Amino acid sequence: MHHFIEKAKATLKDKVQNYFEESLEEFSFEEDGKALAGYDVIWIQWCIGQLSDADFIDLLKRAKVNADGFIVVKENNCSKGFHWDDQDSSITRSDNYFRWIFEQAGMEVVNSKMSDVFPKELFAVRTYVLKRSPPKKKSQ
Amino acid sequence: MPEVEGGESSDDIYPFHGVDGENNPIGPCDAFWKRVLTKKIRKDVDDDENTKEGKLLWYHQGVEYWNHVDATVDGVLGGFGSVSGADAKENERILRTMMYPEGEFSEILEKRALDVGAGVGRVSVRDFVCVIVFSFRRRLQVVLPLVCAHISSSRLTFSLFTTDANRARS
Repeated sequence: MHHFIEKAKATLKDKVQNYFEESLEEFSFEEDGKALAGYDVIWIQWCIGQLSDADFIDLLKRAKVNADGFIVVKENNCSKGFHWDDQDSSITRSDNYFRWIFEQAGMEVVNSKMSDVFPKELFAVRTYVLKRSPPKKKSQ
Repeated sequence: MPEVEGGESSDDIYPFHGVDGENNPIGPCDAFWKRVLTKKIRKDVDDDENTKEGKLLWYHQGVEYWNHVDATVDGVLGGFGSVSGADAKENERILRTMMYPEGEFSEILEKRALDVGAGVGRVSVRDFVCVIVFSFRRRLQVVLPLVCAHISSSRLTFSLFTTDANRARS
């Protein structure tokens, strides 16, 4: 997949500060052993179906988002459960499935919207805006 | 964006049940992941080692697929490059709503954005760089989605290489 980032670099040049060519399931939010500064926006679109549930949840947990920052997940939704695509080793999750993942990761869906701009014959596309849930207070 | 909607289907609950490409049922997700991620590939190594290899095989197949896809907008969108413009407009609306709830762009803020699974930079070039180039001030970062893993099929050994983060301006 090196050819993708080469194309991205040719297009975006120095408008982008860092290009990381790393595996998403292992991306540590570090550079040279030092933690990266937090992000205001982490945009995850049309790629997270490649990750297993465990890796997806783990990524959300370690994502470095600033206090008033947010994560956007924009992905295809199937109507129920999940669809496995053997060709590219990915799954398409249902709306409920995504929400279950976010809950496992301690993320709160602060907004979500179904897209209305795509052709009807494609999977529905939904955008979720996520923030880290505040830690639960212990009940006395 | 309207208020949160969706999530109403009450019979679609964990463990979620899946189907394959031919719409055949493939069982609940917990068993599915266990099956695909812990393949008994080698008899001479223990379960932990097989889990590592099963996981790499899952990701390796994804990488192999994308390795054969053109580095174009049409390629990364699976032939639906024509939807990219509409997608970008929608993303712009979302970003504006979230970052500028008052609807004003007057304050030039330095924001840091991370484009995950950036592919050829489709989202970045349309939504981050073009739309909010001033407020983001070149603080955009891009990360690719998958491992660059390769497998030597004859010996079923895996190697994984991860390049160091490349500075755009070194």
